[in-house]
Amino acid sequence: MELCAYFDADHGSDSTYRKSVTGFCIFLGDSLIFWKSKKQSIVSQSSTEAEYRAMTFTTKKIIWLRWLLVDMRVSFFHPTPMYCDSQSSIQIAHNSVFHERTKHIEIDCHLTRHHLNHDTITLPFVPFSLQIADLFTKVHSVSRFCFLVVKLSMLIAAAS
Amino acid sequence: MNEELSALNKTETWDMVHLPPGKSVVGCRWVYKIKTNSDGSIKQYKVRLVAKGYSQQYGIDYEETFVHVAKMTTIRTLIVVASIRQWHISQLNVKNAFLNGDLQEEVYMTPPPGISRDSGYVCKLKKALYGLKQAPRACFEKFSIVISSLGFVSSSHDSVFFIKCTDAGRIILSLYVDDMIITSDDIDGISVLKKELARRFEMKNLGYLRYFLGIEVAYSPKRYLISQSKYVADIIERARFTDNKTVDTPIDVNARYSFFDGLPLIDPTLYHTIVGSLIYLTITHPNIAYVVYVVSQFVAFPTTVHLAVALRILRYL
Repeated sequence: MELCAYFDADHGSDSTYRKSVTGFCIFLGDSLIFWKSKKQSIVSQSSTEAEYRAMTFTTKKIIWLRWLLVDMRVSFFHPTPMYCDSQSSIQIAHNSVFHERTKHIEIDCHLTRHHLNHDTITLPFVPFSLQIADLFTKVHSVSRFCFLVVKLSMLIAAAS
Repeated sequence: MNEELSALNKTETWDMVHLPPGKSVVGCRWVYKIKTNSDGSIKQYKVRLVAKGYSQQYGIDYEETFVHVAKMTTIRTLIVVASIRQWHISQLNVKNAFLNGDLQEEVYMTPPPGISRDSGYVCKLKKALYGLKQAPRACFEKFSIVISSLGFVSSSHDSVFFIKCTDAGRIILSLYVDDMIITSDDIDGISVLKKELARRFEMKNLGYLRYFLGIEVAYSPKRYLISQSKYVADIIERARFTDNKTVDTPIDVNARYSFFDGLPLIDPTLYHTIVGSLIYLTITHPNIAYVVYVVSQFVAFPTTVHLAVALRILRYL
C-alpha cells in the first residue's frame, strides 16, 4: 500500500487577479483518495514559482496523509513520489543554491527540501501529457478530458 | 410525535420551572420530515422538537459552538485501507444524538405546543435540544468522554478519528455528528464496542456500510465503490430541465469567465443551491473538481452567464 501524488499549477489563469491555480491528486494503491483545485493565495511571478507553491502545498498534504495512515496501521518504507512536469521546479528543490528569483519563495523551498532530504518524498519528472493533475488546473478539450478522467480510475458507469 | 416525546422524557431533557427574572426564553416548534432510503423509497416519517436557536445571543445564551466533523479524505482513506486489508466496515447511528449532550449554559424554552402544562412555567433545558446553537458541541463532548472511557484515543491528525489498540488488533472509529463508521481487524473487539456503546446511548445498528451521508457504498470482494447517484438525481430535479440534453465535458473548452460577464441574477438562490450541492458532489466526483472551483468564485455576485455554466455541469453529470 503506497501513496503517490501528482501536482500541477496553472500560472496566472485567474483573469481578474492573475493568481495561479494549484491542482493535485493523491492515490493510495490504485485508488484516488484526495484531490483539490485551489486558487493560490498570492500572485506568482513565474510559472516555476506557481509550480513551486503547488509543490509545497502538496507536500504538506502528503505529510498529513502519511501520519493519518500510520494511525490506520499502514507503515511506509518508501518515500512518496510526487510527479511533477516542471523540470525547473525539480531543480530548485534539489539544488541548495538560491537564486535572485527564488528568494521570495524561500520558505516554501526549505519545507520541500527538508522532506526531500529526509526521504519522505521524491520528485520524479512526468511528461506534461501524462500529468494527471492537469485535470484540476484548467479547461480541456473533450479528448484530453476523457483521457485524464480515465486515469483517475473512476467508474463513470456506476455513477449514472 | 409520541415517540419523540418519550425520548425527550427518557433523557430528562428539561425541568418545568418558573422563569427567573432577567432570563430570556427560546421558542420551539415541531418539525416533520420524510426520510428516504438510497433508492428513494420512504424509510420513516420523522418528527422532531426543535428549539428556535436563531434567537439565542452569543455570550449570553451560548459560548463556543465549533464542532469537528470527519474529513471526507479520512473517510475515503479509511475505506481504501479497509478494502485492501479486507476488514468489514460497519455503520452505527446514535438515536436522538443531541439529547445525550449535557448543557453547560442555562437555557429556558417555552413548553412545546400541544402539550398540557401549567401556566407560568417554562422548560429549563438540561440536554442539548435540536436547534440550539450549542447542541452539536455538547453532543460531541459527551461522546468524546464516553469513547475515551472505553480506551479510545483521538487521532492528532483528524480529531474525530478514534483509535483503540487491542491485543487482537486495532479498532478504528470515525464520527460524523451522530453517524459513525467502525472498522477493525479485531472482530470480537467490534462486538464488544457495539455492546458498550448500546449500554450508554440508544444506538441503531445499520449493519455493513451502505449509505452514509448521502454517499452510496457498494462493494465486491475486491473493492469498494462510492457514488452519489441519488444526490445527482436530486440536484438535476431541482434544476428543472425541460430536455435530456447531455454534454461530454463539464465546461466549454474556450471558456474564460470573469465577475463582469452577463447580467446579475435577480434571485441568486438557485445558483447558491446548485453550487453548494456541486461542492458536496465533489466527494465522489473528482472530474468536476476544477469546474466547481470555477463556479464557486462567483457565488457572491452570480450572473446569468455563471448560472449557465453551473447548469452545464449538471448536464455533464
